[in-house]
Amino acid sequence: MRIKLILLALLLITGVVLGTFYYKNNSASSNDEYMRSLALINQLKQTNAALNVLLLSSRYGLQADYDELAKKNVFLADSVAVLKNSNIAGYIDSNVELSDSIRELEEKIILKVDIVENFKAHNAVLRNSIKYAPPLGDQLVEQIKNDKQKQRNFLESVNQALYRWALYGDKSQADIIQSGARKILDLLPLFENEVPLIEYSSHVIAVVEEQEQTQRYLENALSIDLEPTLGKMESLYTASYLAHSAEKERLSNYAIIGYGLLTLLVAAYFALMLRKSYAELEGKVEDRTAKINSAYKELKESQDQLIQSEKMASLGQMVAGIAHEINTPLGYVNNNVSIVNNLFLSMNTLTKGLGNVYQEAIKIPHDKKILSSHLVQVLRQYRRMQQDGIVEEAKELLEDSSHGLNDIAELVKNLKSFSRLDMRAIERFNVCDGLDSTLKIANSILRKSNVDVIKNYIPDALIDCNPSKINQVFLNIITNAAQAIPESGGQLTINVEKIGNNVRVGFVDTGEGMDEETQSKIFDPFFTTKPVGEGTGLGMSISYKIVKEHKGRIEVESEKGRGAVITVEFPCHDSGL
Amino acid sequence: MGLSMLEINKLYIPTIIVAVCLLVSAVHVDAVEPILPIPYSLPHDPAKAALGKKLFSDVRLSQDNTLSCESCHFLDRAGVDFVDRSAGIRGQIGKRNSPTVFNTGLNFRQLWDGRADTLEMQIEMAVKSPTVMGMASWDEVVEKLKDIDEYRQGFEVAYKEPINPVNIQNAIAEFERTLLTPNSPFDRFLRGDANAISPIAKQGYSYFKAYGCVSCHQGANVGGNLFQKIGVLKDINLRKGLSADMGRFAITGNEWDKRVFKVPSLRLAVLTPPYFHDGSVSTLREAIDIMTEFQLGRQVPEEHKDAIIEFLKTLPGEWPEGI
Repeated sequence: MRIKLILLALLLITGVVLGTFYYKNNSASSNDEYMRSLALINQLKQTNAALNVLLLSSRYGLQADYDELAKKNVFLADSVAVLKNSNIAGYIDSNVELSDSIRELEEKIILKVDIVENFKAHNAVLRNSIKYAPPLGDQLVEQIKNDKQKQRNFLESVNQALYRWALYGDKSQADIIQSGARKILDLLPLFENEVPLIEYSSHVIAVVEEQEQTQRYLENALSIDLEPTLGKMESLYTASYLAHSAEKERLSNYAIIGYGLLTLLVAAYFALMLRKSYAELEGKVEDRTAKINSAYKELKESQDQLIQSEKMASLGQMVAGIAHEINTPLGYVNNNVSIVNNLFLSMNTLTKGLGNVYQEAIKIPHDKKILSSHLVQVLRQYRRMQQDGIVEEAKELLEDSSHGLNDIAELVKNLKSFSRLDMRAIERFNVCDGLDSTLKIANSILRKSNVDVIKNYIPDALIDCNPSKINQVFLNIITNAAQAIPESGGQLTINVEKIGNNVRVGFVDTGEGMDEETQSKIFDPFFTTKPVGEGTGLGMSISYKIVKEHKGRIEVESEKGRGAVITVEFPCHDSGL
Repeated sequence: MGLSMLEINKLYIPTIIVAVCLLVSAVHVDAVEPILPIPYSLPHDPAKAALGKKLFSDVRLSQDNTLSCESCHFLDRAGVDFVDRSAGIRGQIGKRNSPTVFNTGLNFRQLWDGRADTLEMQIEMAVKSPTVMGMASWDEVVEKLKDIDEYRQGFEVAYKEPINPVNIQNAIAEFERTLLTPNSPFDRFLRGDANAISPIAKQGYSYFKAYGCVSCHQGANVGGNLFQKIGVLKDINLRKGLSADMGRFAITGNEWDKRVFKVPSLRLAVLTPPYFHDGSVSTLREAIDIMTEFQLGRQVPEEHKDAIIEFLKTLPGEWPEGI
């Protein structure tokens, strides 16, 4: 039991652990993170490309404001922190190359962002001077008088170079501008108002310096190409992620397999346990069945014994009744016979006298005197007998005895009919005959309680049955009724009717009746209201069994103190049942 | 390092060809306007911005409960305090001028030297700065605010989490992103309403472009999207005052970052004197003088400057509702 609990707990815990692991391993968030990181890398690539375009546009005046450029540059700058917090950073410990590429990217971004900011500043100044200086140069050239042709040509050449450079990006002009810029202020004596020339000079110098710087920053910015680093990082990250995913998948599979195996193991264990307990159960069932069988056998035996004893008891009762029935006629027959026997003494005397008469009469010669004295004696005897009416009495007594013997013969005949020992198990049977022979058998008991039996019979109350068993039922009911009727007397009415396809026999007594508890238990085996030792408690239960065997039904209806009605119903002989 | 280097990057070759082809026409044709209209709104969460508005004027953000953001950025006065350099807690005077909070969400970086990448970072720095709000730590700020019902409930609703340093900073930043001044006369002009600004303002705009102011002051915020050295065409040391602050050099240590500052937005310039990073210049005309001299290396006639000022007057737009 404990092992089972521990196993179950173990399975549950492992299930939860593996489940959590599996869930965490396979949660969509990991994939989302990956997609987000890829999107970030992609966005960085686009931003980098857009930034490069904006740098060129700004450099060549296609873009007049820095808003977009500033925005892209800020995005790049901020992306360093974003990268560090992204899913990509989660793989740097396991992938040195990735870690290096991220660091490389960070360095590049920081450098590029800074260069771009410098570019913006210098480009602004350069563009101003480039725009302002050449037209101012033209004005200044105009102001130089024709006699200063050399100086005029010099300034013109510088300004032309500035134009070419500004308009066409002609880099070959750079040297002319550079060398010329330093000499411009040499022309100061030629001008009345020196300020424009000083301005021009400073703007040309600004162009030279800013051009150099702006170009350098631009080229540096463009040369810091984030694309390859981003590409490298992307492929390293993807490889790391995929490897990690594969690893996770492998672990997930292990988790599933492990869980499956564990489940199988536990299932196997329980199957084994089940098998074992099943075998045990089977053994137990066999054991129990054997016990139940033997108990049933014992019960059956004891039931048989009880039924036997009930039979014996009934038989005893019956025998007692019958003995009484026989005893009464036998008594007076016996008496009559002894009286008749005494009467025969006078007959004997008469016969003797007649014998004496006959002896003298046949003597030759006969003595008349002796003959007449013998005759006198016979006559006297005859007269005496006539006077006493001996012959009539004897006749009467013998007739009476014959009647008694007839009664006994009748009883024996009924006894035979009651038990029907000589007949087949199931036969057609008139319940009224059965009732009559039963009443005969029960006569003594009925008489004992002065029971008046009223019979309401019908002519053809035929059923198919085992008559001796049905009689046993009737005897049981009649005996119970008789016993329920006090000695002061009562009535037992037996109504035989035909109700539909049934023959119904109702036993209505005026006895003491039964309470409800008794009624409800009347058919229970061993239930009895009689004192211990007088009843077996099986009479009515056996009756119930017999009635059921005959597909009939037996019902009791009673009220304490108001008598009882026992109704028995059997299917008719011709009911088809 | 020449153009040949670029050939390595095949991607750029078409771009370069297109760029070079267009170069000639581009130098002459100023087809693209360098200034763009201010967007009507920036992406923001109204619930968070509402919280931010409360926090913006909450003095509990300062160490001694004397200052709020609004102490230096008057919302009803174009987002500035009109002093050269603002006073922090206990009257400490800062190093630089307070710029306006309006349209600051359009700037590419925050603060004069751009050391704050975002509005959130700027807020983080200002509250912790000993000379501004002077809080020892942001945990202390949270400690002061966390038991106030309107914040506790407000943050629970807007952020679905308790108040913390990150969401406080974000809330204020969200509020500041709502502080735009769109639909100015000039923006209407840019959007096609030719009569939205006066002829003289139009003239001023053409000078603004012609003299090259627009090289730096461009984009929607008319500046605020690049760094620039102060004194590109003339050494700023020639003028007292403005040269002292080294700008971005203090952060980067790069020689070339000396006196480099974020180019300020000119959107509300006419409303927000004094000028420059140290607030040392009190009038717009004086500021234009310095710019033309040191940045543009040009002499600009006074009437042209007047026109430029007329143009600048068309830049402020409508104030956000509920301010």
